[in-house]
Amino acid sequence: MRILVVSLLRLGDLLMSAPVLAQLKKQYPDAKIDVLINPQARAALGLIDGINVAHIFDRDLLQEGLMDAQRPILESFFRLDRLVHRLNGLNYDLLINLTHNRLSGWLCGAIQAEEKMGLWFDERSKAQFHSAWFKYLNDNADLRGVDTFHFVDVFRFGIGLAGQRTQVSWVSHKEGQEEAERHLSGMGRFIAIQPFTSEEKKEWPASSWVECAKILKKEDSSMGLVILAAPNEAGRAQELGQLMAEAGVEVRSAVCSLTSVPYILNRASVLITGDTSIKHIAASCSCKVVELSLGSSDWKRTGVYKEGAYILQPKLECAPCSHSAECHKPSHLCAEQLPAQLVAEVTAAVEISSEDRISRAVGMYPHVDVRRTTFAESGYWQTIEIGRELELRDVREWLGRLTTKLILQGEHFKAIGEFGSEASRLGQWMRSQFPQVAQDKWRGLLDQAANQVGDEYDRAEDAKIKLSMLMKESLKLNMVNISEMRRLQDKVSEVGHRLDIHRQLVRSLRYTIEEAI
Amino acid sequence: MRSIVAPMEGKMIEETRTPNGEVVYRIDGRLTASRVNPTKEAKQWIEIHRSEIERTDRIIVLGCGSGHHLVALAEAYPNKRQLVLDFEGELIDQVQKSVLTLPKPIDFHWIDREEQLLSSSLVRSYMRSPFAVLIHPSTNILHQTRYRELYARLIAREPLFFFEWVRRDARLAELFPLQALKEDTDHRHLSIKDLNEFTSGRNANLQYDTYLIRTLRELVK
Repeated sequence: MRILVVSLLRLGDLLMSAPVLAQLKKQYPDAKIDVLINPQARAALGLIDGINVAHIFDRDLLQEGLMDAQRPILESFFRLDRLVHRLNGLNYDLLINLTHNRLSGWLCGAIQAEEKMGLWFDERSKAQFHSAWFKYLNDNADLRGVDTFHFVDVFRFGIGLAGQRTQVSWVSHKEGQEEAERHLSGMGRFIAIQPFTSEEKKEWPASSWVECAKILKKEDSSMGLVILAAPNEAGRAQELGQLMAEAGVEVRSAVCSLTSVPYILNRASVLITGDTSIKHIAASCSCKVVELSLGSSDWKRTGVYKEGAYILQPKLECAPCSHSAECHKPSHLCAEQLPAQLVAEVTAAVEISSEDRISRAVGMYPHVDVRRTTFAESGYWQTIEIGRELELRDVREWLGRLTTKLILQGEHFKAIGEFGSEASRLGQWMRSQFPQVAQDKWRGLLDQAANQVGDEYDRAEDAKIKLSMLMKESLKLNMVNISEMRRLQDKVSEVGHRLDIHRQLVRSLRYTIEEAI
Repeated sequence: MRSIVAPMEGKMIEETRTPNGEVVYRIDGRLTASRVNPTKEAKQWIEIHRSEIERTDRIIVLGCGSGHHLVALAEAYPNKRQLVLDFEGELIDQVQKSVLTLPKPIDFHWIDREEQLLSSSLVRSYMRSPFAVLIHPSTNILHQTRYRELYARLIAREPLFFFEWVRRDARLAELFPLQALKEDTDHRHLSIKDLNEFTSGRNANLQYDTYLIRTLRELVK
């Protein structure tokens, strides 16, 4: 069997998708898995196991051919034609598009495969998704809702990868190991720092890093600090190191290749990082992770895909901001509102696995959202807000997410859906995460969750009203907007299903909670 | 007949006169226009190219010959701009003098190296709008191959010519919106061979081509 995975975004996106590739390999052990990637993502190939061939989609070269007046006008067309022709010659059985943008949709339309998953455009230019999960991804571009799923989970469920997540093992490299050993020579316990990201908006200022390092060193002078940087970031790493040295903090810079990073992170106690490729590598390393989510970092979709990591994000309306737009605030507010003291406190607490300490620290900075990452029993990634009591909104969030998962799986179409077992898993997970919560509180929260489905009703009512208006209009104009009618009918129907599933889940949850107690 | 120019690159440019007194130049002994009635010959040449001349306001003429065709063109179409390209600088100098009395000036450009031609601001100014390219018979006597290649390259950059191709092929129309091309002051280099291959060799699978074109369009958004 031959599989082509199309991932035309950045290096970090490909590394983030490593769990998907690992699980794909496990599900199809005899398959040859090829990837189609941008040149910038090549560096990831040295780390990800199981890739047979990497085809390169040179976006920059194609763009140059289109925009440069000195180049033959059809140069890019024929270049793209040769690439697609070559891919079609390989007779793929399965094509999986993990990119999900229009460019990839058209490209995947051109590439032939027995089966296609993810976005592709058919002969009528209509978007096809194969799975409700990819359609969900498409329909929820502004994923700020409570039931947002991590991209990795959307991909896993969308592709139909069965069973539990597969642990990623980064490929071993002797040179990488030797390089790591050179950087860490003589080093005992240490905290790794990844301060540099692909966008200025996502970065914490150097002064904050210095302050954080000072606090950490003061807390534990035996703890080493290592700044990680890619070769093109060497100058910046040196500057930061210099600033730290001037502040009296001894720090080591590890300007290293990607292949040495897993070795370094497996030796580190904690990694403090922005939204970077290194974060995605750390997700499958033994170090603990503290992620600083600033600027356009969208932790709900791309947060560190790992159990027990911590994500910090200032509570601002504008977060996350758009990748393409510049910060519209007079200053880099999100970075300014993330105190070095809090980051250092969380890091120190994570190092010794003390969530109580984190909760106390969070209490002093209520304007910062601190979350612990975890995986629900049903297999998807989610987070728990630290530093406050369990509230109704938490229960509604978990119920909402699980409801969406069951809808996307099509459980409501089955004669006997998996509501009971899923609710049971959710209940067990809730109890394990909040063992101290009393029975009465659980009952109260579930009662409220059962009654407060107002939002769902509002959406259904709104869609019904619009549908009714549309039908009246169509009688007057003698013209029927069928696609809009269908969309509204689907909306009403979907909300109905959601309410139904919600009721069943709450009923089963009550039973599970009572049983457990 | 008299020799009027110091030889360049071993070529002799000589001036002769017709029976009715018109000047005709020879290059290395070969006539650049009719030695009997060059004006009549020039008018016939214009007649042959009338449809091309009339569809545009700018005309690029390859080969300055003895200049009679340039004068005839300027008199028949006084509102059209002319740019004359020739590989022989000394010949240009002579012909330029003979057209000085024309009410509307003619632009001349000596082609030193073809690859630099398109970086000339004068040449590029002609290419910002639709233009016709006419090749004079005098180009057959010297540098024939070079003139033919230059002709093909200029034609390839002629927007109306390309528009014709685009009009005939919906895929090209999608890939290169006409409006964008009209506004584009840097005309794209267009290979006739590529166009031929694109429009005639790919009819079997238009849907496939549409996919490629739509992919490319996403790259320029």
